[in-house]
Amino acid sequence: MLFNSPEFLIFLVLAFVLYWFVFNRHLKAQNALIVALSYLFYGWWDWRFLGLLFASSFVDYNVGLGLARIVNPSRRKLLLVASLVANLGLLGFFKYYNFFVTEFIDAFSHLGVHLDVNTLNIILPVGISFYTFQSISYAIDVYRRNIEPTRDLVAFLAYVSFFPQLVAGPIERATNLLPQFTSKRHFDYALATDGMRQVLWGFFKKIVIADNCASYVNDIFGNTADYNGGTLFLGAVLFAFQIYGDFSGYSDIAIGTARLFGFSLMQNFAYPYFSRDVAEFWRRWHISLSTWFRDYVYIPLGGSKGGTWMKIRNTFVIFLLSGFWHGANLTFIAWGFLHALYFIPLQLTGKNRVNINIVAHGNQWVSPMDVLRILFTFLLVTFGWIFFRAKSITHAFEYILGIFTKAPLEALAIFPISLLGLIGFMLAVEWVHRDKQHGLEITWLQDKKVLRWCMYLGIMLLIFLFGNFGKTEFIYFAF
Amino acid sequence: MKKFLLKTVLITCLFVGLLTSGLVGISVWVKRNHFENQHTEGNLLVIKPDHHYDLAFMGISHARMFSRYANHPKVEAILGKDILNLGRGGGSCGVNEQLFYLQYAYSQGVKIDTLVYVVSPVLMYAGFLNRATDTFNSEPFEFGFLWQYLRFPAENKQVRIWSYMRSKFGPHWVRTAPDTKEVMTDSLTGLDSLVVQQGFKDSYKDGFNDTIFQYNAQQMEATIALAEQHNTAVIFFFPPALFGQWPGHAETLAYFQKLGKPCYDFSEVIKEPRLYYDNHHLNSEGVMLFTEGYLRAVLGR
Repeated sequence: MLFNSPEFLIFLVLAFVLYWFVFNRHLKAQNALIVALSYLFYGWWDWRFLGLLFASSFVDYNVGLGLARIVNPSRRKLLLVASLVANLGLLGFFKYYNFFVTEFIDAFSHLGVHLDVNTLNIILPVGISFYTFQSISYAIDVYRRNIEPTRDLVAFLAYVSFFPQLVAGPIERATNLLPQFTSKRHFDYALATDGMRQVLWGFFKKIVIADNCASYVNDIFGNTADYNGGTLFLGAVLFAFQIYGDFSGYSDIAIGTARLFGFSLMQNFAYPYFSRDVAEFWRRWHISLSTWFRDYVYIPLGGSKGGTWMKIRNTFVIFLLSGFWHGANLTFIAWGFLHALYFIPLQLTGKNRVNINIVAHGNQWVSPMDVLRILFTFLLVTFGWIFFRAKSITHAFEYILGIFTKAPLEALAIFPISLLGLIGFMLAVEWVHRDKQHGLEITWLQDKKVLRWCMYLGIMLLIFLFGNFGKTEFIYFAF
Repeated sequence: MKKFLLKTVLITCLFVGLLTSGLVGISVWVKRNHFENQHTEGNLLVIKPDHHYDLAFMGISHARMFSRYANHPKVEAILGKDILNLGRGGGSCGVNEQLFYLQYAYSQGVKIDTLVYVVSPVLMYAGFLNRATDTFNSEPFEFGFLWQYLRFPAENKQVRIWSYMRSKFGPHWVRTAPDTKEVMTDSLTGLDSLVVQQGFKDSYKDGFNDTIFQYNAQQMEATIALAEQHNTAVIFFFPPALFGQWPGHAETLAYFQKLGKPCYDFSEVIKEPRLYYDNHHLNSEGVMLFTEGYLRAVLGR
């Protein structure tokens, strides 16, 4: 079920009523309802993969119990490995099997050996990268004794399948989300109203910004040869805003929806395009995945504690894995590689934690130097997005070459003025709220009810007037 | 909780109320102009409820050309008939939405003696016409129309409805006034085969897909059935084109001949470039000559 579909609206209203008015007396009943709703939400897309979701949850639930019971360290480790094999095995089969087979055949064909290995017609289950990572994090946290294993299967199923964040995150940690399923929830007016605001802002970013950018981006990236350098550059910039609007919009809708049900999910985006260097960008972009890799891969590998080569190795591992997580295509790996190249100089010179605070914190105005840093970082990131969006590495290089060689100073073939205005509006609103959890956390309008309502109505009107209602899927559903 | 629900309902109602007032208000503002068929591409602006029409045209731009450029009253005078033109040009309407227009007209108590469906082969092969989202952008906002369309099976319905409602707030709609062009005098001097080939490429971008043809055939048969339910006779004709027959002509003609309704093939009857303003649309002089020379014989007084 897509957030931007009428079915979801009906689903949400019914879920809200059942949750707060029918099943509100017993925690277990409420959790069971969440499981049922989440499985319905997921099954709406393809019911055949519900078994996979259940299997992944069931394995880790039992692994958790086993880890609590077993004292012997080797046996505990073995059990954890079993969980990792099961989860990563599922992910590997559904997401990467064809990629490896094709690359394997290609590699041998370069050596003159033609292998006859069949690829399979595998459908990628929506959200598999998200829920397997969430499930794995539970097993590791129990193994590390960061969390007590739950003995409540329903609560655990609800934790893994919680519908707002099931298919595209945020990838929650058991330490944050699981305890929320085991304690009584009470309707919180402030949390719910702020959730509604966040949902509204998420829809604006998805339907107005991302989906409108998508139509230009698809055209420009699909017909690279037909456009001049300036237009290709514009295509890359629009893709930067498309992917931001799409994914952060999804996260806002997910977090806001969870708040309506009394849950607090982690922030997944913290205005990444206001970053002053790439290291800051990675602290602000897809936070739940970055921190997942940091906690479960980077730190266990030694993090930045070892010598120079170890630091470089670990950084490459993280960025390449992150790229590969996004999809079985060399373009994603190239994207990860590029970001590792951006990051390593900062790390080696000790400048990767220079910009920890919020840009121009406490001021409305930003220094010219920071503006330049923000623009430079944005350009680097946008350059990386070309690899992310291109069909192949060759396509990405053609695209980049086109930007610089195909009459870059000629007039743009496409100039979506109203869309650029809307992007400007989004950036302005987010700039004002850059120290808040989301772009519409308008605490400064707390006492100005009329103005606040005008703002809601204005954003709803913008969605109505400029939204693209083609039921476009979220980009990250494919990851 | 009560406060939250109350506020949510209140803001939703406020938004819907403001939106509806805007939609209705702007449409009333536009409708204050008196529109006739020759003045507009919008059908809802000209359908007169409970009116008895002798004849109604349906189809794509080849049907609409009988009304554009002040042709409508002249065609009415030549044929001696009161005519409603439901045709929609501009690549924005396929067989399915044409069927809906007819259904809506009947629901308004309209009576039609004869339905003249102008058959362009491209209409049967084009899937994109049924997917077009700007179909209703020239129509005023009307609840009855929207309500009926919500229950009508169609491709791309959701996007089409949004486009319909949204277009009412655009400067183009707000400034809509009767089109007062008196005549279309542009003419060709010869056939430009390059333009024709490009035109075919654009018009047949869905290829010659049997599934699309069958779907359109189904909707065409539903149109006939609906017309017959309302005691309306149905006639088909293939309009003239400077290049003569469209790709897929033979198959389309064979299909329409099998339907057992009067079907006339006029695709080759006018070959004079000066009577066309492009390769397949007659200019005003062409429309008059065709109406007098061919249509009158079929539909005459």
